[in-house]
Amino acid sequence: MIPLDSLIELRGVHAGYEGVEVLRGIDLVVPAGQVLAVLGPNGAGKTTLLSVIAGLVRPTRGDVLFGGRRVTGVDPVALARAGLCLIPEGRGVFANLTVAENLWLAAGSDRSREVVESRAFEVFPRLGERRDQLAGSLSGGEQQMVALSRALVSDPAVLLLDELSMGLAPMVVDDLYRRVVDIARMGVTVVVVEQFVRTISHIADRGIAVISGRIVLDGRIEEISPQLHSAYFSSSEEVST
Amino acid sequence: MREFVGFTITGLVTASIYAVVASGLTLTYATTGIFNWAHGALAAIGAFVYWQCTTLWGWPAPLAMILCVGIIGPVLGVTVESGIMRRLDGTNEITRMAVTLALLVGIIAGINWIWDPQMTKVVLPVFNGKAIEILGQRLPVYDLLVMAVALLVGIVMRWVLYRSRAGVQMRGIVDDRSLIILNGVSPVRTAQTSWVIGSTTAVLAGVLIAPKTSLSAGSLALLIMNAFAASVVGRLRSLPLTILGAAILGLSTAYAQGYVGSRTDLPGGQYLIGLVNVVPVVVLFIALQFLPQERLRAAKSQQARELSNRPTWNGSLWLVVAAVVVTAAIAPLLAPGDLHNMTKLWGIAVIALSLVPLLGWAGRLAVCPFAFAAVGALISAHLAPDGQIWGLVLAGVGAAAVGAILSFPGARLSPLYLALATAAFAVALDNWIFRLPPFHLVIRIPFTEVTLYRHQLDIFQGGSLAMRRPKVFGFDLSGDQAFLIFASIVFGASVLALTALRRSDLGLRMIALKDSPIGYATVGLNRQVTTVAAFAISAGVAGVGGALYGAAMQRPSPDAFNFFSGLSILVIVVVLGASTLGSSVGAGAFLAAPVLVNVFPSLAQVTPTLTAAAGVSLGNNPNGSIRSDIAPQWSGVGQRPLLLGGGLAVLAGVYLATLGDLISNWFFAGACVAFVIVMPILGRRATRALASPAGSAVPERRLSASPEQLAQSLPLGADDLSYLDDTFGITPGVGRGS
Ligand SMILES: Nc1ncnc2c1ncn2[C@@H]1O[C@H](COP(=O)(O)OP(=O)(O)OP(=O)(O)O)[C@@H](O)[C@H]1O
Ligand SMILES: [Mg+2]
Repeated sequence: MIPLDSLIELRGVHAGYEGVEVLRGIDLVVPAGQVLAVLGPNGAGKTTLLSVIAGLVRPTRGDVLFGGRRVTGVDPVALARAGLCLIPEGRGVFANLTVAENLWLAAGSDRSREVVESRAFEVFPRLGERRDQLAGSLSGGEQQMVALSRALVSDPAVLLLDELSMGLAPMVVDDLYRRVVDIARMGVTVVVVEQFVRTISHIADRGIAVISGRIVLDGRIEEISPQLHSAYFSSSEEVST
Repeated sequence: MREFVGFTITGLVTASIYAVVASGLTLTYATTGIFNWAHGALAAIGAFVYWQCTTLWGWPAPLAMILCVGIIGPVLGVTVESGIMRRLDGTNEITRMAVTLALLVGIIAGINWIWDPQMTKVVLPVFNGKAIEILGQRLPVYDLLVMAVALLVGIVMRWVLYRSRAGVQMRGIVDDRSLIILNGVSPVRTAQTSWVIGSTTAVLAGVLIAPKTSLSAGSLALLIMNAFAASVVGRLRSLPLTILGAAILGLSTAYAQGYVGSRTDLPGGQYLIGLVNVVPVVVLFIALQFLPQERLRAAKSQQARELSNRPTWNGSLWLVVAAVVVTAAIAPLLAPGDLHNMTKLWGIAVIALSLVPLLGWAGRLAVCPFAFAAVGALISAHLAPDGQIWGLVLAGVGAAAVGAILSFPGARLSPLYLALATAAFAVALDNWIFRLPPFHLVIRIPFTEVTLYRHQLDIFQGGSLAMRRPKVFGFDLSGDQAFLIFASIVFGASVLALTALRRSDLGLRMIALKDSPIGYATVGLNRQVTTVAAFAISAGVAGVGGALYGAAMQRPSPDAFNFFSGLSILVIVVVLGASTLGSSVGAGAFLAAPVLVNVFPSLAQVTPTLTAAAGVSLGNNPNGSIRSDIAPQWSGVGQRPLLLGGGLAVLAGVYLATLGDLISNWFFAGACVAFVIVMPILGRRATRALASPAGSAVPERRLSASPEQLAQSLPLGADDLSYLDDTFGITPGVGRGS
């Protein structure tokens, strides 16, 4: 029985890289079906937070739970197979594989190529026209479509998105996030990292602000967005004293 | 016409074997990013095991084949992947190549160790003597079988790579390893699969080729390396193009052999016989010329695990003084035979030194140190036949010129292709140029009979080059002892010259080129010029070393400059640290000092095997062991002059006693070993005593945490603040507000 009120849970998580502590005590519970926005300035530790959830970075202290089970230190391959889908920062595609091959890799081994392709091309017809093109030769927006298709074809329980908008035109970003909303409607729990609250204010149920590796704000997105500015500001204040 | 059909069929059979080899190589490279220089050596293992089973043990051929392809191949693949290749994550292409080159040297040494190389080994093909008539040609059934197997391998491979999930995963992993993890695919399993496929096809090729040649590990590995040309035609990506390359290779070899190689009646025929052997090299060179310019990738910033620091004048002087003094001290102690063997030491060391600027500093790998050395030796032997001292200079200049010429087409290539080109160059020299019969070099004014220059040239003088040791300022250096000391002085001069180079502007540029080719291009510096310069310098140093090495042997044969021996030098230098000048001493000592071979005469393969074993461990230690292991050990000693002086004094005492025949050489050798072991221990003791609070010195001060951590948990504590103030020379309280 999976506890629906805490699909993902982080308890007192500390994590970092070779002597640099980035996350410093994160406590977070994400219920099933929620769309959570993770906000914060550059270098705050947002990407690290997602990496910890996906198992790519092992916490130095604290625990990660997925569906009520402790998964701290579990092989990220196993987590991915269990339904955690992280679309990393930048372009999450295999540049030297064709679009079709990218999709096929993304789907589990039990799905046929035809089913996978028809599902993705239905949502992103543009990819269908570029089926046999190398993903590396696609435009930035198209590459993000390929990356996002992974969330369509692999039936994840949780979708972790890291700055989908990076380097893309606002219109393209809006279009991509509309697909994310569709995915969320199917019951997928979504954690979205963004720098700017405006981009995702209309799709997220809840927002947290991470600053210097701690959660400083947590609440409904329209509640916390007015406080964001002063939160960022006071954090830089703290550093300069 | 009949002839043509016959040659074509022979060519297609050869092409089939090349296709199996090359497609396995391409698959491994395309799916792991590691170019396996040892591919041919794996094939050699297959051939030898097959021979052992069928000829020695009398097993039926199918059983032996199943053992080789079904068990040996996959087991080798798993072993190589899990034991070696897995550790190469995050190292650069050069380190990876060095590791597989080490594996190549090691496997060949290992095979020669297990199976006596003197013994002739013949494998009979299956269906021996049976043939089918096709187009008026009798075609052996075995050849048909070879072609069928190759076809099957080609089809299966293409299916695996493009149609199977595993294949797509294998290709994806090269693009982005962490993304493959996020897709729920285990990168370890995937890499293992591709190594298993690669090594199994290599073993299969070895088994197929075994009946077609006499078995010798070195020549089998070289034969298989011919197929590398086919992989280059396929740009190490495309299987169909690779197979096309194999066809070109097989057919051109067969036609060359049929129409030229067996006909001494052709004009100049005797000069072309050797050329037939290097047809694959020619194909490789042509294929390399058609490669696109190396693309600069800015996409990923790379965090290299390889570092290179600048040699100090102090350090280099120490190295030079130690080299000369130790040589002069040890020479009188050695038995004449050992002394004679050791005369090669400094020649080899200089050749090894030549690798440092090119590989260690400019980050370009040339796998042919002995080829440039041979050029140097030849120049010195032909132009300074009486051992004139300027012969060394000519050797250097001439080899540098050859290096520069070779690097013009090579400079634009990526490190891998450049390394392949240099290997091809070395093999062409070994197998053709050095074995040319004498010819007349004639320079005539065109359209007239006026001859300007006429010289009979016999490159290697019938297989052994006459080289005289020099006379300098009336000193006769023909004796072993005098020559050894002279050679150490030449080595010292080379070290100092290279130190100056590394500290110069050009030295800086080389490092910049290695660290960031893209950054280099964006600040407007010309990569080609720097690469050519690095090549020329390296070749020049190797030329000087070659002249010394040849003079040490006095009558070197082409075999003394053999490609594989050159690889041993390369591997040792990389293991000890390609950016450290001192690594060259290790190469000389390891390859020329007869210690190991003397102590274990029956195990002459120990040296190459150890070398290769060390090379294979490189993945753990890409900066080389001098920097990572040896230097830290001795740093304590270096800081305690009293300790070092005392140790040296004791050693000198023992030495004098040995010289005076009071004690035996072995005692002295023991004392040297003890010195090397004990000094670092004492050095560490002394340093620790210093650091402990009981000592008289100031306690060591440090930040309470790393600067990054401190920066995140501002404000700073009082101790850290005052430490920083001291470090940066700031008066406390000034400019910090309050
Ligand atoms: N692989 C790594 N090794 C060392 N330090 C790292 C590594 N990845 C991130 N860091 C450091 O960890 C800190 C947090 O990085 P992180 O990528 O989590 O920030 P972020 O909030 O995602 O920032 P951005 O908005 O710029 O993407 C940064 O100071 C960064 O320098
Ligand atoms: Mg980030």
